[in-house]
Amino acid sequence: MLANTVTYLLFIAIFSLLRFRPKFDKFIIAGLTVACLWVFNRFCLDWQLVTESITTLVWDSSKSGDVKIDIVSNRYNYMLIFPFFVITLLSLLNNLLFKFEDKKRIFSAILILNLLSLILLISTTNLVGIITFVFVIDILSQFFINNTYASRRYSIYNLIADMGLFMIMAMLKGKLDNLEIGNIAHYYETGRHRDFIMFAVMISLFIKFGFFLFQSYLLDLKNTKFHKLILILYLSTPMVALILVMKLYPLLVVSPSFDLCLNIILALTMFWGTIGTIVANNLKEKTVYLNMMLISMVVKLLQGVDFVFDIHLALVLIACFVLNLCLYYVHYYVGRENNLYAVEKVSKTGICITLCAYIITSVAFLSELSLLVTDLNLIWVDVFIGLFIIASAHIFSQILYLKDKQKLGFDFYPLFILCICTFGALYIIKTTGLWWLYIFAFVISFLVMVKIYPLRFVLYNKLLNEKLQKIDFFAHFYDVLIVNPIKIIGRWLTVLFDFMFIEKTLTAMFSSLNGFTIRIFRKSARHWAIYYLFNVIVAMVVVLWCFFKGDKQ
Amino acid sequence: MTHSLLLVIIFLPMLGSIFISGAHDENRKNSVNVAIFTVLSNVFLILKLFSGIDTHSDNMQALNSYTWPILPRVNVVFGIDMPSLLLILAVHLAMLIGIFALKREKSSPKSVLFFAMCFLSSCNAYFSAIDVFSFYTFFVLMIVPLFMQIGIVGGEKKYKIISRFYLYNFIGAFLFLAAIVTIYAVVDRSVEINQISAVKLGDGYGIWVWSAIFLAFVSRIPVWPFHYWITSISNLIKNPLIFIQLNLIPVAGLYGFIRFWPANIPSEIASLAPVFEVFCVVTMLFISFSGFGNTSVKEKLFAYTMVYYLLYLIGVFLPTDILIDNIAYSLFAFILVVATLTISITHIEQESERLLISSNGILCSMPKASLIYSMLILVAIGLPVSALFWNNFIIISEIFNVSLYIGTAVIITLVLASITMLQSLYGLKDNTCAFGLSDKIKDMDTTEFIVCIVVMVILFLSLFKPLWFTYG
Repeated sequence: MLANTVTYLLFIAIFSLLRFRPKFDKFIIAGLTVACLWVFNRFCLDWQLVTESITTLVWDSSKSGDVKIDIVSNRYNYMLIFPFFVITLLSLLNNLLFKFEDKKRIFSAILILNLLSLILLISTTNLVGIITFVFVIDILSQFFINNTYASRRYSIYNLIADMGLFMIMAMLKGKLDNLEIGNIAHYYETGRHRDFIMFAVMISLFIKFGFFLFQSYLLDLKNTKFHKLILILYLSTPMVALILVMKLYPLLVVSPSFDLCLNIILALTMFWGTIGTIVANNLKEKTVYLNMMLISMVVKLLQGVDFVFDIHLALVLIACFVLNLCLYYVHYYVGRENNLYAVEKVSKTGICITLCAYIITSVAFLSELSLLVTDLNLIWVDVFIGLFIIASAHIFSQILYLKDKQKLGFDFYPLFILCICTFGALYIIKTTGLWWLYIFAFVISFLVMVKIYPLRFVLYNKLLNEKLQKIDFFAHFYDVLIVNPIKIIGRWLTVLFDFMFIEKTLTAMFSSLNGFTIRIFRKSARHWAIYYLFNVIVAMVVVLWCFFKGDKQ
Repeated sequence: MTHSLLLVIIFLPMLGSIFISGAHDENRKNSVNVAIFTVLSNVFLILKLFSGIDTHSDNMQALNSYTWPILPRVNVVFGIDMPSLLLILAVHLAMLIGIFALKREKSSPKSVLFFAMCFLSSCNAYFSAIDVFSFYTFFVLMIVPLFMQIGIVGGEKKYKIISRFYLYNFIGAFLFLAAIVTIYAVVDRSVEINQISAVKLGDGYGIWVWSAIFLAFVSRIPVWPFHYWITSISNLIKNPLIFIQLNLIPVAGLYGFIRFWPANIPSEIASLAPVFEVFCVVTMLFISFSGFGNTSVKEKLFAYTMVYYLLYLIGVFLPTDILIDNIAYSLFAFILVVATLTISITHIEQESERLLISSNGILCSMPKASLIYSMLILVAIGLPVSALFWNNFIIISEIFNVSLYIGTAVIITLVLASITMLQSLYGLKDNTCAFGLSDKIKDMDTTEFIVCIVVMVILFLSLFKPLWFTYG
């Protein structure tokens, strides 16, 4: 059943890659979008009726096993694909309606191919199949980005993450002698180096998620267009990590330290995301930081349900994407200016409408979130909501009031008190189970904070602000800890071994030896009689030595 | 039919070299066209031979045996199996790519092409040699044309290049000669490689003979401390065809190990495999670190190339022979990628030298070269766009099966080598480097571009089926 969806999408993608006259582009894109909507309709109908079935294509056979591409149709996979299908459709509609892309047809084709790869990644059960589609999605994301500055660190970080996963898959293949992902649960019984495996998988996934310490490459996406940035966030790397964390969960739990490590990194990501959203001046950077918070919360929710996907999680993901779309419209209404300090024209009506949409989506997002709360992540959800309100309110207040900053005074303390009160109120309301009050309180606190925000001590201290914008802690961190030492060691090795030892010692020694031999022969040619006698004596000595010391048999 | 076909494949390039030597080359086209025609004809013959052999068989096929009419009493035996024929095909395609790039050269390529055809013939013979005597002969013979080519186009530094080249290669050749003479002295006849393990050399001799053979092969592969000569020579060579041939020299050493290891090696030597693996890993780390710290695009390519050769060498040293096919498939794609990258880089360097500008950002003014270079880097770093991907996966999984530490070190070096290649790509595409000469920069010409696209298609097809050109 899922195989049909894959086939339809493949045909649509191929058709959209065909060359037509530019004047037909609009109709073709409209046709593609309609075709995708029709496929989505079929997909939803199939979802209701689906029974477990597998379509297998053997890609390659060798003595070491078959590489297969399985398309496993079951309810779970349909549920997992659903949010990505919706996000792709929303992006296709955006592409149809807005003029944000020059080559719209190609862009739609890449979107569809990306969806196809995501579907295959979700449905395949073969280790090589999984890593292949991870790589394919990374290649497609390069087409999305299409900007040297944005893709430089993106490629390198993803390469490291992908090679980490590649290593784990190769290791599993070596240890289990099997390429089926279903067997990785047996690694617990047969495998060794559990902490190493967990650590390698975790680091690779954290890089792909763009969590704390690894977010720099996502921040570089500020050099690309806004819609591409949110597509990368919700249809590419971080979502691949989300799918992989569910697939590779049996490997992660082989180490008892997994939960602790995950919790630490999620907490750090959430707080760093909030700080980044507040401090950054660039709207695209703010969006990335906000998404760090959102995605870390989604992972925390997944952890609460043992990494088994849920329809509420699907809706949470869609809501997150819509929140990002709202930010895209904000960007549109500030004249596509990235730096909020440089904004000259603000369409206040547009911003207010977007703010309303943002609040409505946030409410929907938080309602779905609330359905996934367990005892384990209760406190996380509370803290997240607080941080989310602060961060979101900060963005909108900056946009609405930044131009009037001279009129506003320094009111950090009232803000702080307000935050504390909001947290308290929310917590009491939530524990009493009055959810509608909870949502009401959220909306009110959001609006109040928009009015009295931002954190002026950061925003209006020009020197401090400029410094904060320029500092790239993590680039320095990696330069000092990894990149520069490797370069220095590389150069040191080249000079010491290649140049000093091999070139100046070994090669020079052989060269001198060669020269010495040539000189001897030259001299022997001059005084041939003496050297003839000398050579004969040497030869005689060798012969005699061989005669007496050699094997007498 | 297949018997005579193999002989034709071996000697056709030699015949081509005779025609090249007689070609009128005032317009610098005739010799190139003859060379292209020769290599293309041989490629078709190789494909024909592929259809005549059983690609799944581990035995040597299309055997040709000749007895040497005078002393020493040796039987010269030629034959091929799938890996050796695939390597022959890869070498031909790589040479073809190099010949197309020669069209750009200002000086007459006639003499270079003459020796290139001789090199190709000796390569074919080396990959088809079954007996130890002919294996040695062509092992040595294949570096003679290269020696001559360096002498012809080596420029001011040719003495420096030739002395290094001579030193390492002829020491290796001498050691190999000493080993086969010893073997001949013991058995009093020539031996086929698959029978060599049965030769009883005695306690004292065995270790020395095998060490000599081992060092002879190692001298061709950049294993520490033999790695520097090839690096330093490559940096000084500007001619793309010679650069490609120089990059094929490690294949000879690697192929030597493939033929001898592990089945044809005595157990006391085979037990040293972990030590050799550690040497390889140390060299890989060494080269990848150096490549990472280097700024020259060519040196980065070279570091990448050597890291991959060492990966294959570790694969050969593993105590299993199921990897041979995977190594051959991967090596096929790898040789094509390196050859194509070489001509792209040579073009870039020539343009930057011509206009006296830095190569940083130069690809922004070369849309065709930029497309090709970007696609090749994707292939080179092992993404699933060629046979490199799946076959390297298998090789690495077997390395992990033997040792976690070696496997992890190998992955680190591969990542570093890949990052090195990405760095070079982004350096060449860095559009902050404004030239003001962008309209004067010449892009890759159409023929080269088409050749590169054809290579990309071949590589992409190899992803789905490495031997896509055969029926089976």
